[in-house]
Amino acid sequence: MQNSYEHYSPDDFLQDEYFLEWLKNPQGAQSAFWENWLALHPHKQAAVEEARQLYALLQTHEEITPAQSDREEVLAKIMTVIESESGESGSGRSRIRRLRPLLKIAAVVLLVAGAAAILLYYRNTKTPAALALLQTKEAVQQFRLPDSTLITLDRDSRCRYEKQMAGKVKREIWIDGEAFLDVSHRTGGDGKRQPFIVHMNGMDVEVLGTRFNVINRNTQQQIMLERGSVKVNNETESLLLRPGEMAVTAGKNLVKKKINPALYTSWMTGVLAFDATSLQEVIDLLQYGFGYHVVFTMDPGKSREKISGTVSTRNREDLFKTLSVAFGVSIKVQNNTLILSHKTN
Amino acid sequence: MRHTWLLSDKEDKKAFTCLYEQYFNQLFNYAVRFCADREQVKEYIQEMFIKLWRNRHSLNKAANIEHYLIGALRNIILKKQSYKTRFVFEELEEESYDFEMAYPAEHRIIKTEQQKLLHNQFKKAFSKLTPRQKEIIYLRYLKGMNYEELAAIMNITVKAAYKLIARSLETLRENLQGFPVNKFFVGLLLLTLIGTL
Repeated sequence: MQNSYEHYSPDDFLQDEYFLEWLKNPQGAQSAFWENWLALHPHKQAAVEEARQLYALLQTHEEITPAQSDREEVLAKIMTVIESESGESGSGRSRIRRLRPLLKIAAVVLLVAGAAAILLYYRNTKTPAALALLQTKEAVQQFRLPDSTLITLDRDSRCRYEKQMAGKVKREIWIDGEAFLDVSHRTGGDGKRQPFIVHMNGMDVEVLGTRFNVINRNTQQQIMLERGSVKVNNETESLLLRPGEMAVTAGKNLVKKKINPALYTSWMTGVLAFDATSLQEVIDLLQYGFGYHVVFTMDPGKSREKISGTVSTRNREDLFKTLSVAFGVSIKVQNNTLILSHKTN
Repeated sequence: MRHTWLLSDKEDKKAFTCLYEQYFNQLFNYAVRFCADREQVKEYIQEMFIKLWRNRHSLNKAANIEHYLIGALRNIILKKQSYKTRFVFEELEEESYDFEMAYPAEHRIIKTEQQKLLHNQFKKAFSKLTPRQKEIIYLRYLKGMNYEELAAIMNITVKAAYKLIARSLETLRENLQGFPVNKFFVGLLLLTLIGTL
């Protein structure tokens, strides 16, 4: 196999599964083989480079993002059809029709008794309402809460909520990880607005119908507001956020920062869209959005440099590589720390 | 590994909704390459999901759900599109469907003029491919389908899939010739060499 690679053209490389694996994942298991092979066959560097470039160009095609309203509209139509069909599916119904009259009466009595029992049970219990759990593992997922609030949970995140939240004076949820919330406006039976509260470690976010992002991971807490207004309360202070503002924890304090909301929701689409975005904004994002500790060792003027364009965030290695090329800086990763410095060559 | 195929839990509407939410954007992105009319695309997707629900008891486990859904959607689109084509032309030709892909240079991270030129050239070269060539490149290099999957979806033999990919890449690179691409690569190579010294 190794021999035949010597006669490969860029096209041939692009059709080779083993080679593609390496392009898809340059840090993967194949990297040792290919780096070694290239060192032994330096005259193939140009062909490999051309294949790599063509592959990179192919990856830049434009994704068309449909509107959320489109997605919701189609889902609603699908569900209407499905519901109407499952209602008609016959066997259950015909069996009921065949029940003898006596059984019918018995069934009704049982039903009434059951309903009464349930009612009594709920009146007498004052224990906190049952909590339901939403949990994600390896994929970002969207859920609708009973009050019709739309929640998008990042990978490896959890949301607990009261099953009966829709009927409560206050709607309450608990977030562990990262989530984006599109909270529905609601007024209770008394005509009062029904507040929505997000509980996090050491702080709460109080909301009335809005779109915002929260992170609650160990010592990293962040709330980013896209639309509406929210109040962030910790033990000592309370901050009111306007759209385009973010609250982060700095030790025991809450700090407010102005940001571009679109940058902080990239985890939902896997795509970061820069639009004359400065290096400083990117550093803030890496710190408060991605949770890295960033060390910046260049003169402040450098941090005002701007770039535009979109980049995928699915693979962190690739993201750092792209950023390093775009800004012309070197980015070193050490555990959870990023060191940004001048390119050495 | 990546997903749980909802049909293991056959009655679950919630799982079905999750599946929908997870793949709607990708499916939309694919379908819109056949048909620029977004309302029409929405109808295709709707039809595909309703069919999926109706057939949920007779489906086998798919190795890759996204690829499975793309295949199902493609069948629906081509049935409708080719019907239209047949209606107009009476005879169905092999290349009778359209597959459009756009590579907009201006929205990407492009720092140097040289890169911009390369990108524009690439756009032009790509636009010269036939619809089938565009589609197979899209499915292979952006969706990561293997040759068996390509063959099944595009309704050709595996051998033909290999051929079509090879031919597409060849055409793509031919169209990129006559442009200082190679000079650019040599330049890049020199830079990397200098960098390593």
